[in-house]
Amino acid sequence: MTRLAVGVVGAGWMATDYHVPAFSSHPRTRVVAFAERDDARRATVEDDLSLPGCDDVTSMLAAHDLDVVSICTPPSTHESIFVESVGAGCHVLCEKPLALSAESARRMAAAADDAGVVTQVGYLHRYYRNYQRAMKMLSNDLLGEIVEVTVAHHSAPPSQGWYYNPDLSGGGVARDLFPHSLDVLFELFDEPPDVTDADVRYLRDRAVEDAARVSLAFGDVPVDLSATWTQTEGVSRVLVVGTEGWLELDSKTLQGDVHGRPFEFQQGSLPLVDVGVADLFPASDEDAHTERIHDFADHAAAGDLDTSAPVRRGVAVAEVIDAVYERGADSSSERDGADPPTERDGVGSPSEPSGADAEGGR
Amino acid sequence: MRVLVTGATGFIGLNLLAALDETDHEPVAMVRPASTTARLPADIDRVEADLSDADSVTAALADVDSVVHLAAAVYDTASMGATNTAGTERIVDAAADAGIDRFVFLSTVGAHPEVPADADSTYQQSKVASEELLFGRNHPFEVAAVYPTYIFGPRDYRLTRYEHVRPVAANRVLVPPLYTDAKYNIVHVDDVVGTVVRCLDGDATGRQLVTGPNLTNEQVLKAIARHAPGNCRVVTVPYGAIRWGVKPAMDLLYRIGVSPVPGEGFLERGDFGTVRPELTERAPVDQRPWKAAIGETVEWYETVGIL
Repeated sequence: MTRLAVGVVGAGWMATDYHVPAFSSHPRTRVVAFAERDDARRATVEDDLSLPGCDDVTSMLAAHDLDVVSICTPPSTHESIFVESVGAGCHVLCEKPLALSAESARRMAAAADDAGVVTQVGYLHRYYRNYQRAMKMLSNDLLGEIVEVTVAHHSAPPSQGWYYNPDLSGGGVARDLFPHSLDVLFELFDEPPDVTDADVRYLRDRAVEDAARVSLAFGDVPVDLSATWTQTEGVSRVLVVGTEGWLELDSKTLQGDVHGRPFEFQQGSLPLVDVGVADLFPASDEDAHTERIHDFADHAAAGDLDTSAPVRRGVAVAEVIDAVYERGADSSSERDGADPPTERDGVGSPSEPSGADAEGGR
Repeated sequence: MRVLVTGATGFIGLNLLAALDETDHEPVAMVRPASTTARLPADIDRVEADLSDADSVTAALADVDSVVHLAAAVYDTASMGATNTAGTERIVDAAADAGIDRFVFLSTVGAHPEVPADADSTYQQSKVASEELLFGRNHPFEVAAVYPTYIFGPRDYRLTRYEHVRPVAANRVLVPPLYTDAKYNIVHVDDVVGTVVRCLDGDATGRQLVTGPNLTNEQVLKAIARHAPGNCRVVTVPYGAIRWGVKPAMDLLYRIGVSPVPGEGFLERGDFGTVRPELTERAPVDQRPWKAAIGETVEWYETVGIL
């Protein structure tokens, strides 16, 4: 069986540490080339990975007969790379956030629909075993009816400069961190949410917000999300309260209670030993980044458009984040006259990689 | 035939609704206004009523031919008198006025006249209290009552059997004090709902025991270990070793502050539904093996993510 030819766009750590190894280890895909705008970085990666580098996606598509394009560049470049790739008939895995705005995301979705190719946005959280276990519990109504959901996602401030330039990033922490949780919430609830409240704050002197909150209503279930760039070690935690129990999870620990019966899992696993006063969990080989790329590769190889998060999911996510900025601009200008995000410092290079890190999408 | 099912959202209720789907009976789920109805089959008829409200029960009984009365407080001791005894009397009275054909009541093995009831179990006593009401009076309908032992099976949303399964799945070696001594009589939930369906069909009436074989702790724990994830090895320890080894050891650990509880509790000998030998393996249906009941419980726990 022939393997699909993959071209990776952007040669930052997300590409070299995850996309290239994952597509190389999947039985149905192989990486044939990458594209990187920065000459020095391109030369380094050509040497390190023994792969031919091109200076952009156009020349990569011209030089190689590609089946799949994997996009690991900053958000401002996603739309044009995505549209060009699907136009060339390639299946596309695109890192989050999908686009700078819902309008841009809708153009991408329309292009993918026309091309009939397999697409996936690179949301990470759903691939953690704890999240998959929690989704099983919730989709089987194990907690009764869901009463409310609270999500807190606080990460380290990103090191790459483009994150702080709204023209390149599409916003700050809301655009960066909300997508992972919104993807899970969209999976959990069938209907799209109403945005009932939102605000953004500028804790440091940056051009983009580094604290954001949004209140959503999925039907009559209130959901609160908050995210900041404040921590040294990040935390991303979800608390779900139901009529018959609760659960709380991050990527490491999932615990909860149903009708007074407690449960706990670490990285999706039961303990090896649990003597009540102490327990011991097995060592885990979990690698959610590789899981999501392999899942996309499975779908691309099968021509199955129904991936975990097709480009339409990215549109729905972007619509919520756009609404956060619209409401956030209103509320912050009422409060202290702060401006919505505009370009102030323009640091950073668009050739740097976007995206999530190894633990919880930063 | 339209059948009003009380307790439709509970363990037996959800299994009964699934079984009735294969028959000509048309169930109507009686649900309290506060119940979780998300687990009911989407196409099932439902009516809101509460056993504490006679008018609502009367309204729910309009236009049904039979009643299966499953609703009971099983864990909340404080509501057992009101729900299990007074609530049952209310629906029996309303059923007489409504002119139904059959009334099927879910009791418990300890309430059967041939089985000694546990005087300390408020639940059993609340079911015993319904005996006179059902069988000591004349009714304008046929009465059947079902007396199951310890039921295992899928759709255990209250996780009532999780306490038996989790210690096996969460330990590679299971040895006291991780379990205490116990004996069991286990039946498959399919046997229980199958018996209810036979009663609705008029093929069984009066008192119906649903019992399996009497089982030792070792048989039950090893069956759980065969099905549960984790390849647990169950080590059987004679009760004497628990008495003279585990209890003093736990007392010592308690004294030095390692164990939160002393050893006394580890001497408990649980009895989950055993009956005297001539009453075992009784049911008016072809019975499913008790090991299948355990296997399907474990499988269902895995399906919903709790194992």
